[in-house]
Amino acid sequence: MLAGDGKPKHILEVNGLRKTFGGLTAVENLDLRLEYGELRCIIGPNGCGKTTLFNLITGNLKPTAGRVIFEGREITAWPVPEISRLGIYRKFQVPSVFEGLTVYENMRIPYFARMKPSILGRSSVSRNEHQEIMELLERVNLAGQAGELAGNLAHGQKQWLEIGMVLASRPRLMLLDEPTAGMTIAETKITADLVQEISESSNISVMVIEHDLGFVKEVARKITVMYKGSIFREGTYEEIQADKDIHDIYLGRHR
Amino acid sequence: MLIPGIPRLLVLAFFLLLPFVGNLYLVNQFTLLLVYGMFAMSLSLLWGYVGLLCFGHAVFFGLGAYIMAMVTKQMIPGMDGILSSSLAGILAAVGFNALFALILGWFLFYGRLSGPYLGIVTLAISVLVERIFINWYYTGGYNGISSVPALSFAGWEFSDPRHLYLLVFVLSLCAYLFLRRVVNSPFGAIISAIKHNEARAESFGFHATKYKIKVFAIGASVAGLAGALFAAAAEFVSPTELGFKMSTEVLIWTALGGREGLIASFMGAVTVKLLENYLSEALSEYWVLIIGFIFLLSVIFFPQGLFGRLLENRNKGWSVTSPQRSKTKKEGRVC
Ligand SMILES: Nc1ncnc2c1ncn2[C@@H]1O[C@H](COP(=O)(O)OP(=O)(O)O)[C@@H](O)[C@H]1O
Ligand SMILES: [Mg+2]
Repeated sequence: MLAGDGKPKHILEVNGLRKTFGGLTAVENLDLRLEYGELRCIIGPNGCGKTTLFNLITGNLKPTAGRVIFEGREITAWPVPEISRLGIYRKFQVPSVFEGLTVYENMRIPYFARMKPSILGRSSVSRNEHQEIMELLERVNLAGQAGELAGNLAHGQKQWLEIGMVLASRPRLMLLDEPTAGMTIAETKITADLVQEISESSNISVMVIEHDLGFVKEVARKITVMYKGSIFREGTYEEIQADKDIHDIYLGRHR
Repeated sequence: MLIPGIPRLLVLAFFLLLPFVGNLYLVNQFTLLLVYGMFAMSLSLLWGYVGLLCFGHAVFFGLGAYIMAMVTKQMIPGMDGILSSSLAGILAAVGFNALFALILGWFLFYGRLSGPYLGIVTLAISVLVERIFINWYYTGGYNGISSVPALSFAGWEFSDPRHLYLLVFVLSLCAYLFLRRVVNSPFGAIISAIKHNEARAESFGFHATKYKIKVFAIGASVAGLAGALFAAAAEFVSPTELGFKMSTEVLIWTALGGREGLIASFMGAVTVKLLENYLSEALSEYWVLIIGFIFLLSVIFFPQGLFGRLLENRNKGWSVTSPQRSKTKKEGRVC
């Protein structure tokens, strides 16, 4: 569907997506539309296919059926690096940082993705990029840990570092898979503020998979509830909160 | 605490001064040690910096040596005159290896081989090529090719062992500087990211497979250069240089020296070969046992190898604008 100026209305469109693993259907007939600049939370019980959905969008898994369309272009089953280069960057559920590199070195990697990675050049970023890295580290509360090995960071700090690296990649669509897992209440709050601030201060579209309802309540205007591989409901926090069925499948079961 | 650069300068000074103080026997011996050291550095690039454990790396060394021998002995039809010079031999060895590794790497890495599978397949290739050369009458079969001409460039023959040594020394230094440049480049930063977490690197937009193929070709080329120099310096080449034994040896040198460092790997080769030259006669078969045992111990207790800490300085080469590192780092990459 195109808006007036010929630009697609949705940054991301997922049509009839399906993924089976042997006999197990992880994602089933899933349709989803994300508007430009939207901040969307995806919730749902464990094993309902949320991470699989991300994997299908980013090319880490190839769908059994269905299509993924990013900014009007079909990207179904493209290779991972090519999908990334269109501007879709993700934070994995298990924090994935380069543990053997320092925090600063981790942050530089996305910058190398944008330059022609010369074999004989110096591996330094420009003054401006250095400045940008330090600002990003400030934003994810890691400015003091720039020289620390990423492997030595606490679980929550790794999550922040990964978000910082995703930001350094200048995403158009950012996918965050359980960004507050393993965080204290205070850290969760900081992360919620950060995600909200990112969404408001830039035109980055964001999809967040979250379990923490406090987080969801704070950040999301629109929530998608998944159940058994499909979309179960979409609505605001209040609508979701008031929905009896959702309590049965999700809230009721888990809390 | 030592200033990080000093042990490396000592290594440099030692190898530079050796031909002026050592006798001819020593100089000849060290010419080959330099060649083995260069070979070990090329494996260090693949294994230590990208995590490609290549069990059959000698195939590149041996092919380099055979190509050098065949070119300079005019055994390749149609290649005579300037095309049979030392320079042509070296270029052919390096070029052929680069091409061979690109093609082989394409199959290996697009076939998603990694870890032990990669090791086993490369080993199989090395053993296969060894068998081919053992059975190939034209290249002397089991005996290989002897009387390989000495190196000569533009009419200047390096028949004086000291001159030859200095030439090989300069080329080893160039190989080291080249490899160091590569690992400290943006390309090097990306391959180290791929080594640490391939899935993560791909999600930042890097085709891990393409990088692996390229770095494989670089490692193979340098191994080919070492092989070519070996053929000219030793004046012979035999199937041993391509096969199982040589492949395991270079693995041991690199592991013992410290695979995550170029000079450390280089010194691993020099040290083990030197010890072998002096001890293997006295200890006969026990030598293999002892070196195997030391190898095991080092893998378990010194993953950084004997020289990893001494000779390598992780901070060196990383960006000038990078901030001070904390002193608490426990392990990690050296370069
Ligand atoms: N690579 C895989 N191979 C086989 N089964 C998988 C794979 N990934 C996920 N699954 C299965 O698919 C279902 C959905 O998993 P997932 O998407 O991780 O759930 P969620 O993120 O919502 O907790 C689960 O039953 C899980 O076991
Ligand atoms: Mg999940």
